[in-house]
Amino acid sequence: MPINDSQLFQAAILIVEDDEANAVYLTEVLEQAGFCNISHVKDGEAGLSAVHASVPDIVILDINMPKVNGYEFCTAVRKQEPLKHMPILVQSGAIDDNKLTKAFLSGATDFIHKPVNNEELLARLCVHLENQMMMRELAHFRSRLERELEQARSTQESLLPTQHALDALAKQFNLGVATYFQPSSEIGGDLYLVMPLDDVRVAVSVVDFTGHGINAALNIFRLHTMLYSINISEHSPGELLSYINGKLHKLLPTGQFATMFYAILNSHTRTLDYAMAGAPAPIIKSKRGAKFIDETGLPLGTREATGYDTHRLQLKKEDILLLYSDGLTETPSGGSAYLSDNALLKQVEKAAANADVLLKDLVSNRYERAGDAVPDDITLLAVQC
Amino acid sequence: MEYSKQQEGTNCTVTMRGRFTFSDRNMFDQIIQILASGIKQLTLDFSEVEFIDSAGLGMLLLAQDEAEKANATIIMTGAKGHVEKMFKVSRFDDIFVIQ
Repeated sequence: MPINDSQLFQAAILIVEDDEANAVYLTEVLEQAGFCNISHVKDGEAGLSAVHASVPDIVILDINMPKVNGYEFCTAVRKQEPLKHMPILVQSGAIDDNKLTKAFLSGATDFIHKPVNNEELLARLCVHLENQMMMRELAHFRSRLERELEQARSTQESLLPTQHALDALAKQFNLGVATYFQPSSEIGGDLYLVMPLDDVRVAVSVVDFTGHGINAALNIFRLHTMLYSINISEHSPGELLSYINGKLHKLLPTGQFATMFYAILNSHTRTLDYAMAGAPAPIIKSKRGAKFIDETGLPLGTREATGYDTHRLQLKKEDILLLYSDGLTETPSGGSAYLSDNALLKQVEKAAANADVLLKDLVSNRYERAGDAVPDDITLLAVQC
Repeated sequence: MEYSKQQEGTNCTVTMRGRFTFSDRNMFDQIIQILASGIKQLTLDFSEVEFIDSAGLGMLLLAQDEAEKANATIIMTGAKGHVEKMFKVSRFDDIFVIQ
C-alpha cells in the first residue's frame, strides 16, 4: 500500500517540548522538509490535553519537562484505546541505558538523541508515519471487508428457504423437515434446497463447492441462478445433474467443482428418485436402523461429458432422509475429531425418530467432538416421511 | 502434508504423507511441476496419506490436466481408509489410473 507524499506531508505532528528554542528549531526542520501540519505545546500536561482533543499522527516528545514529564505522558496515553498505537518519538539529551529502557517501557515508539540530527529525525519520522498510515489503511480495509461480508452473508441466507416456508411445506406435504446451516466464514460454499415441484413432489438437495469463503459463495449464487432459470420440475434428478454439470464445466476452472445430491420425494407414494455427484452418502433412518445410500458419481464440473443416472428407493412412513455436507464429519485437526462412517451411522440409529431431534443430536455432537471452530461449512437437512 | 520423490528415467514416484488439504496447494504445485520436466509416468503413492479434502481432489484434477498436456500418465496407488472412500465416492477411477 504505497503512501503518497501529499498524505505524508499533511500528517499531524505534535511537538511536546518545554525548550522553546528547540521547538522552533524542530518546527523549521520539519517545515523545510515539507510538513505543513505541525503544532507545539510546552509541557506534558498540555500535551495530554492536546492528544485528547485531537489524536495526532505522531508525537515528538521531550523527556524532562515540568508538570507531566515524558515518561508520565507515555504511560498515560498508552492506557487509552484511541492513543494506544499513536507513534511517540522521544528526543532527549544525555540519557543512560536505564532511562532509555524506562522510556520504552513507558510506551515510547522510538528514540532520537539531542541535539537532533536532521536527516535522522526525518528518516525516523517518515518510517513511523508510513507504518501508522498503513495500519490505518489496513484497519479501514478490514472493517469495510467485514461490513461487506456481513451483507453478503445476509444475501446468501436469502437463498435459503425461510423457517416459515419450511413449516408451510412440511404441513402441505405432511412431512417433517429440519435444517441446519453454519458457514465457516461469513459466507460459504454450501447450499441446501427444499422446494415443492408440484402438489405431490418435493425436491431436496445439498450442494458443496470446493473450498469456502467468497469464491465458493459466488459459485453458490451461480448455481442458484441456474436452478431457477429452468423449470426443474420437468427434469429427473439425473437429467438435472447432467445439465448443471455441463454448465459448471464451462464456468469453473480445472480443480474447482461441486458435490451434489439431488432427490425428488413423492409425498404420496414415498418413492425417492435421486442422483449423486460425489456428495457424502446420504442416510436413510428407518425403524430397522440406518443405512447409507451408497451411490457414487463424479463431482459436477469435473468432466464435460459426464451423464448422471436417476436411481429409485422406496421409503416407508416415518423414514428419515438425512443429507449433510462433509463439514459435519471432517475436521482439519483429524484424529478423534473425525467422524467415521460407522460412528455416524450409530449416532443416527441411536437418535430419536424425529427430524428436528436428529439434527440437534448431530449438531451438538459435532461441536462436542471437534470444538467451536468451524473450518468448513456445515449443512444438514433431514426430511421425514 | 510432506512428500518425497524418486525418479528413474522418465518415471517418477511421489510418496505423500499426512493430510492433503487446501493448505498444501503451494506444495502440490511443486509436484505438478514435475510433469513439465519430461516425465512420462507419475506415480502418486497415497499409502501414507490419511485424509484428503475436496481441495485435495481438485488439485489432483489439476495435475491430471497438466499430465494430459504433457502426454504423461498419472497412476495413484495405495489409497486406503478415508482417501480410498473419497476416490470411490467421487468416481476418480473414471479419470485416473488407480491401483
